[in-house]
Amino acid sequence: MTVSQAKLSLPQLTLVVIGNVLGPGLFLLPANLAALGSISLIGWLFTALFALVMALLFARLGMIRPDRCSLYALSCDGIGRLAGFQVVYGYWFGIWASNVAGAVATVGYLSWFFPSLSNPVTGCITAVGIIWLLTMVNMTNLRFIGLFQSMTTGLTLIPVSCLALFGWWKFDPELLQQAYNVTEDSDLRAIISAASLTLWTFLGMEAACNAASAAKNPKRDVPLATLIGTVITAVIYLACTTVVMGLVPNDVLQSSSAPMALAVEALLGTTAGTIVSLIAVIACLGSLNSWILTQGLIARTAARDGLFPAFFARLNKNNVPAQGHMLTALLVSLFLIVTVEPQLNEQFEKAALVCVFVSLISYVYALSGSFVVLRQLHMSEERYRIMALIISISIFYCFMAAIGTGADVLCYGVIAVLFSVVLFACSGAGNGGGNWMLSDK
Amino acid sequence: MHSDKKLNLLQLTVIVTGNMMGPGLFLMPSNLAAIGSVAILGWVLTAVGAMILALMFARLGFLYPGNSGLYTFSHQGLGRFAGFQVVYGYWFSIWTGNVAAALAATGYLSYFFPALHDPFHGCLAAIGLIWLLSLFNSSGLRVIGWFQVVTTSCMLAPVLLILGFGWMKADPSRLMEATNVSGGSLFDAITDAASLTLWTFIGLESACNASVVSENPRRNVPIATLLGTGVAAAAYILCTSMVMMLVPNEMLQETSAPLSLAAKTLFGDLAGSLVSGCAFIACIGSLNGWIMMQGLVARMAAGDHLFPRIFARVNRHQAPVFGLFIAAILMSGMLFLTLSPTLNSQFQTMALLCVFGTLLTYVYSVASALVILRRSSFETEYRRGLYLLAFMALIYCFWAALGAGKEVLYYGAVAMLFSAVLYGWTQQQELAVQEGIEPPPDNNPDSASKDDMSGSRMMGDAGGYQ
Repeated sequence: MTVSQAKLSLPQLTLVVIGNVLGPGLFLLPANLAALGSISLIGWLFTALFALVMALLFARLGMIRPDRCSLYALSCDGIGRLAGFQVVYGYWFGIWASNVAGAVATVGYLSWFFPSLSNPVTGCITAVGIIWLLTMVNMTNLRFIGLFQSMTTGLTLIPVSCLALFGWWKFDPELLQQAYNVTEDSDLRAIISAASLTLWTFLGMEAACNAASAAKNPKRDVPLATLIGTVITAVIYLACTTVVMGLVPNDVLQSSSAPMALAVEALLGTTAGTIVSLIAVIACLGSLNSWILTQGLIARTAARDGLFPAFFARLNKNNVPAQGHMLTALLVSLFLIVTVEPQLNEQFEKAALVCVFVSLISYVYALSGSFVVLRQLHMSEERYRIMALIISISIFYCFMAAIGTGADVLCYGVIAVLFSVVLFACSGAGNGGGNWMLSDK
Repeated sequence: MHSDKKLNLLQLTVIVTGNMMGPGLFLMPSNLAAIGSVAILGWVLTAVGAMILALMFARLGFLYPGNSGLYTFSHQGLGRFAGFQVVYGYWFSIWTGNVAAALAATGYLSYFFPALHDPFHGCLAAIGLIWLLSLFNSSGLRVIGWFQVVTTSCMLAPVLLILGFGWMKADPSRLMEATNVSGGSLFDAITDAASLTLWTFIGLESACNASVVSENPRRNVPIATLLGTGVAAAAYILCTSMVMMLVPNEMLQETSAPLSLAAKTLFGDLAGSLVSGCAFIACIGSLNGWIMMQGLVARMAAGDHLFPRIFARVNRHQAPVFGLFIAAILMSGMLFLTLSPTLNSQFQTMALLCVFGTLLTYVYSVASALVILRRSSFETEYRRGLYLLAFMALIYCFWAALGAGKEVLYYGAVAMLFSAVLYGWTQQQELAVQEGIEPPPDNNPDSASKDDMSGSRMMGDAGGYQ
């Protein structure tokens, strides 16, 4: 996520975009989508289109106001302090919900080697163990591991692109047709559910605008890189999931906690499946580690600016906000234990959907704020209308996806939003004191 | 209410009770019968919660006397967006509550026309009532004074009848037979009842403007608030218990006119019909008042640039006709969306949605109270007491919000998310008007604000916004 001082060229920018979006989300998702049927591919297509529109919108905003185009800044400037606070709170909350999903995915692929981990209790204990291990790593001086992130992104790409390219060899379209919509609901519902779930894999697309200040030729390169990067990621995702669904029968896929490994096994044999599992575990761990680092940093910045309680900013002797890390690890463990399900996939889905809903709140706030922010820029009425139309379409999509996260997630989400108002009142920000304006990422 | 003469304790108590008492009671016994007699316990807890909230608002009323209450709190405490969300939540709770009231009216109408028992027909009848009253409100005709007296008496008569004569045929064993028929745990049953019964206490926030008109407000306002809420709660709870003791549980669950059924058990068919008639008139009267109110709230919000300007546009009768029609469309849509197997369960969903909207405004107000208290110059002891009240109020609010149930929170989440979009859109519209990109609205802003003043006075009488 960091951007170096040297100016970036178009291919480099494209890689930044891909790196931001591509995560371990893909590793467990085919199993969840199989529970919906191959109709979920249509939902994924919608999400990809939306991600593209959003990424372009933010790239555009990044060019118009490069310093204040993050979700936080847009909400804060357009809607108000409370909205800004809720976005930061939501972002932090979203990251640790996402860490829950990441830990579950890791355990899923570990269970390829240790089948006893498929048991929900041992699986849950392992996931909690992974979280604490990585938290400990982040609290010591061993943070060079964070550098693995760039490497793990590369590692993710290998099996995924192999599958997307060569999987067609044994691809069986029958399997897709047989399991078109295996839910009991209507097609529309299934598509909406798939759209919400797959949104998880695209979270981070708005980060394109952060790169604007580092680009060599931002006017041309940033939208182009965003476009190319998002399209490449979308194509990889879609091709990969299609292939997995065409290689593994639906009922096997639904109950699997290592769908990619299963698909590669069907393609090239058991050894290949084992290698993919190993890569998946490493990739998940790497991404989990970097997100734990980021989450600590966000809470620390928020605490320094008076948005979060002060102890999130307290550093230990290694210059790490240790107390904040411990508290978050505690919350993640709690979340893991509370959401435990008979099947790892279901727990993964729940955590991913919580993360999606929280992000959707941030998107809706930022998009609504953009109405106001764009108006302040004194652009011509025609251009404003076009932007407003794009924003409205994006908002509409956000609502569809929010509804798709399901009644469970929505009702806990709305309670969390209400609770954030109380937190805001208790924080220094609500009191009008403190340097509550977050410095931009 | 705005006279120069200060009110004494008794008058103040009557006002608090009057603001709270409404036709909320009329369909409640049926819905609570579906939970069981343990629901009464939930109602008692909600009465305590309502007292805490009312007390809190009454005490805070000293800080911003004469203003539009909860909106001002939130605006001052948490910023303009929070203030907007409170108005939005209030407006949302009014129109969802209106849907519930229309369904209650339909329920009592079905006593005469059994065809309305069919949920679809009932739904159509409710839509008809809503449009009829919305048209009435935009025609510039006003309800004349004596009609208000009639509807209030119609509301009180059935309650007094059942309270006064119910003991003649009451059978306490009926309460014992059906303590918890909800199918859930005891705690869940109580929680459900607590959320639902909050519907009957809506209007309690009007306590915060009582301090202006009261003599010796520091002593009288809290006492009057407690007494007033207590009287309303006692009337509600006794009446419901009486109905539960008069009518067997299964019959009560199925009926859409529980008070008529109780009256029929007492004095025969004629009494049942009379009570149905009274209840119908009371519902219509209250619905009419709240439809006017919802137009006024939206109009005032538009005047403050919180709602889109269309809500401030009035026709030649000075009625905010667009706001009324937009709400009528929303209400009709919601009626179709929540179409349920029975009228009672649909009523319950809508009443709970109204409760959710109200809880939203309460949570925001209590949260801003925390901020305001930090800045205030109250003596330490007084402040500490208020902190304690705020803490208890928050616990109550979250408990009740969780009790509203999945379906309601689901709609609530979408409505809450939409508030940000509405606010963003309104703010850009304002900027555009300021820059002369869009033409200014048709209405002269001066005359609109003058009307808003009179509007807020009316609101004081109806006992909500202030």
